[in-house]
Amino acid sequence: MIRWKNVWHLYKRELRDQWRDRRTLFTVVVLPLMLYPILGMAMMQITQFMREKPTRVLVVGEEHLHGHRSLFVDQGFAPGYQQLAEAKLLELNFSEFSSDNVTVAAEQLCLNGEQQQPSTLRWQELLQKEMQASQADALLFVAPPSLVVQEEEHQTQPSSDQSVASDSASRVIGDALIDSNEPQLETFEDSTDQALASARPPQVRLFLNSSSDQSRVAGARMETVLKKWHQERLRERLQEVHVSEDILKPFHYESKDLARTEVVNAHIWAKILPFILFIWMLTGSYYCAVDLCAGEKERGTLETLLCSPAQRREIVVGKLLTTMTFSSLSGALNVICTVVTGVLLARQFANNGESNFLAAAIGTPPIASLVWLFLAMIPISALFGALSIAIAAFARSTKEGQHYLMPFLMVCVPLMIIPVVQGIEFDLGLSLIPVTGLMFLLRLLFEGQYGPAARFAVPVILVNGWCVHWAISWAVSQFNQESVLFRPTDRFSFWKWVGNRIQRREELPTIGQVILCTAVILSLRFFMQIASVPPTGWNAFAFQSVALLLVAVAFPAILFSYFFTSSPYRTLRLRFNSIASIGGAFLLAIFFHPMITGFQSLVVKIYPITAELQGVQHVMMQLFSDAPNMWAILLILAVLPAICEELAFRGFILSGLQRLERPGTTIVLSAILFGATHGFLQQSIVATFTGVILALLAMKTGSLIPCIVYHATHNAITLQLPMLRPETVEQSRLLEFIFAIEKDEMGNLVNIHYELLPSLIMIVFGWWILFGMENWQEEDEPSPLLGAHPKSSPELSQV
Amino acid sequence: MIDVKNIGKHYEDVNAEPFWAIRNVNFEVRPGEIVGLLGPNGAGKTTLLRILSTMLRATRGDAFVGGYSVNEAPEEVRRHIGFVSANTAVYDRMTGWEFVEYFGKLYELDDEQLRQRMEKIFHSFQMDNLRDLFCGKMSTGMKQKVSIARALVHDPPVLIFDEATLGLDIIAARSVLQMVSALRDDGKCIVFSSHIMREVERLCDRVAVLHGGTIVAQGSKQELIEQFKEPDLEEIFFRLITVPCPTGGTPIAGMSEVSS
Repeated sequence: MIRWKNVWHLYKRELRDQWRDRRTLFTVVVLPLMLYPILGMAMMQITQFMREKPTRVLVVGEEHLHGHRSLFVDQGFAPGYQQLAEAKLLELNFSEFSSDNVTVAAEQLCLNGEQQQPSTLRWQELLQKEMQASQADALLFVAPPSLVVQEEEHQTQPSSDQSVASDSASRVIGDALIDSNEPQLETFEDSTDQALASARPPQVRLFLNSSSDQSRVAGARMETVLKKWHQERLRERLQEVHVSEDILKPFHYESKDLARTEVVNAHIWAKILPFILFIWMLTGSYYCAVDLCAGEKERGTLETLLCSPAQRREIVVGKLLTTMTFSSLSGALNVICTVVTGVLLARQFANNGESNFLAAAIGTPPIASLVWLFLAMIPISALFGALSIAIAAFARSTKEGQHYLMPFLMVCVPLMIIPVVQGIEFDLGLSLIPVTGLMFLLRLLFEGQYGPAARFAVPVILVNGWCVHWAISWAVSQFNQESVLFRPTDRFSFWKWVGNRIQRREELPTIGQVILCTAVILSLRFFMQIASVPPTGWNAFAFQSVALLLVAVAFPAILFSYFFTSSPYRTLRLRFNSIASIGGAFLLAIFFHPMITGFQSLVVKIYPITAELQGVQHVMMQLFSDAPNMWAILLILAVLPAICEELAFRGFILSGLQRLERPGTTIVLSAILFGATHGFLQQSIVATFTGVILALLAMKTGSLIPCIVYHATHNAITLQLPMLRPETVEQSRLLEFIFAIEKDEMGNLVNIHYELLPSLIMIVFGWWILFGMENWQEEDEPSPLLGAHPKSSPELSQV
Repeated sequence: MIDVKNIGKHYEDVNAEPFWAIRNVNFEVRPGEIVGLLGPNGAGKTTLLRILSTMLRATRGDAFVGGYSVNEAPEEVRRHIGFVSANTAVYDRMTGWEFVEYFGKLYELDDEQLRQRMEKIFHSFQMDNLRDLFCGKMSTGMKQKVSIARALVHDPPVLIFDEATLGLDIIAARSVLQMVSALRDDGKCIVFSSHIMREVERLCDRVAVLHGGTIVAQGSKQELIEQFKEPDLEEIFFRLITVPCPTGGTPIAGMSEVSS
């Protein structure tokens, strides 16, 4: 029974201690108070800097615009364009200050700009050098009319001719053509109809260096001015030919936002504030927890505390409450500072007349939303606090505790990013993910969407509540172990560990070896899958599957059993039990199949299969059609996976996990590890469920053979069911009773599933087989479910 | 008051061979008596005392402290002991008074009772100057005094000192020894482990020598001198630790030359 008075004393002391710690105070209180104003000021400064710094544009060939209404007048923009904000930030530098090389290079690039030829690259380099020499960020080149004609001619010639033309550096040709082109412009002014048909408009080219930010900014500013000039010219031309401007607008459109301003504000803040709250509450709780647990170990005071009559649970709860307080304080201060800085910045931008996102969109978040945000701190701080305490209790020193922060963040931050990603909608599947569900729920409440929030509140609370409970239990169990104080401080040496383990082999694997084996299996699978090319036919597919199962699954399990245990046969459960257990496992696979397919349907409903995944499944089905016969498919996809995976998961891994002496935890952990090695989420969840049944079977029988039989039978039924012929079902009364089928017009099977009643009957039978049969083990052997390990047995090879 | 019966502790380490830190240890301590625990580094003194204070679990055997089993009723044992280690283990960001008061509250003493008890301790051990001083600003000797005050706040019948004078200067060490002596006069049952022969010789009523995880000799100073025919405790100690111990522990390197 927990004594809350003791918890209160512990909490009060920890709170006072943390409050007197300058480092904690700085991280939790001072940092947010300083950080956001500094960030805001920096943002203003950067914006100011970016806004006010002018960029230079070199203008070449401006004289070719004479006769048109020019963009430029007297070495500057024409009066209509001078007032543009972008034009004000452009410094123009006219061609008379640049060398002839610029003109030649620009002309050549106009002629051959699209070609990636050595000559083109040479011109590009030349032009860049010239731009650098004249300190220009961009170059505006107005092509002479002669060049326009020449370019048109080039476009009609084969590409090989173009390269010849470009290599000849045809400035002379260009000069010769200038005169012949002049009359065309005059014609344009004389006769409007004729001009529209034949006149060539001035060709303006903007040359940029996209690897320079300044150049890109200069280009963007110049383009704005050019667009305005383009519109003006278009309007003038339409007026010249007496055509209304409306011809350019075939229809009118306008969008109208129906959302109220405060809802829009809430929506924008909902994307920012929950993320800030979560991330700061996580770091706030972690730093505090490290000082409270690892720090106390380091200072030696934990020893004194554990000598006192305070119960371990009371100590953990006291520390948890302190962590929650500081986590909430950190989150609250960061949220308040973000809102204040954001609103002030937005006002500042609005005052400056900026068409900035901040100024346009951010207002003050609604009060109700902020209330939800502060209420949400209780479950968030409980979740992160409990997890932080559990991890920090494991660390021996503050330094070691800080090393665990990065992996902790690596796990938590992606879960926080999911709700922020554009276009992801909250559903039941997401609500079952810890942290993600909680953040989504907070977003809904923040936006005032109470209906959907109420729908997902129960799963979110259950999942995250379970996580809190689990983390507290883990922390308490750590405090109950002497290792909380006296974990060996020697530096861990992997090779020394391997050497010791091989030398001092125990009968069954240790937990560390189980973790290592799982890591090896996962890594090998990952790298083999990445390295393999998509199979083009059945043979390639079969080869890849066999290689993957043997090398990445069976081989590590056998190798680890041989080197790390004194009894590999017992570890891998290679013993014959009884014919009854094998027959029972076969029947169990048949009777439990409706249950597993039902569970699979539920999983697919919660986490729908993506179109991409459906495509992969379709390709797989096509590969099966290339198989020589059905037996080949069953061998590669049913029997071989059953043998390899059972050796690894119900053999080595389950035997090691049985050291935990908690059958429930052993079964669930082995099933989770089994699920984790499967390809995609839906398959992993179903595999975890099947893994529970297989682990139960392994522990009940003490033999791997029933597990292999169950696994292979289950896989075989799953593969065979979609290939059943409708007439086969219709001709058999039993099959007709069990299955419901859907056919297309051609009489082909479209869908097959179990009927409800026979499913229930089969599940009851399966249950009876699994739990009702007492003689699965040999008579002289106690059940491993009661904590004992199966006795060593005759080897499989001798059977 | 302390009755240790066949206590054994086995350690396993991933990097090293598993070993027995102590095995088959038997001894008892009566009220109003100080038993000195002597032994070289690694003899198992701290392991034994940590088992008695319930921080470690015995692999084998049992010990009864104040009548309670360390295996069966660790919480009751914790209520009846005061543990002081070489590591002063005080909270740097608490004053001497706050630190002692905090533990007093964890022992569920009521406010008035706690205040009176603390006044008495602080006065009798001349610690009034430490009341409002933050532990982080205290010298090692001051910290150890506060640590002893913390161990005494609930007036436990059993006190365990694990090298409590380690790292203290002669004045601070003498002050601590005087405190321990006064506590024996109050009828406390005390186990006092140390490396310093002179301290043990002057303070303890009986001595147990631990070597290689087992008690190789125990008795009063006079009994041991008569048994081993050596002039003092130091010579007895050298003689005991330079021979291989019954459980396979090796003599301390270089000790035989010194002793001869």
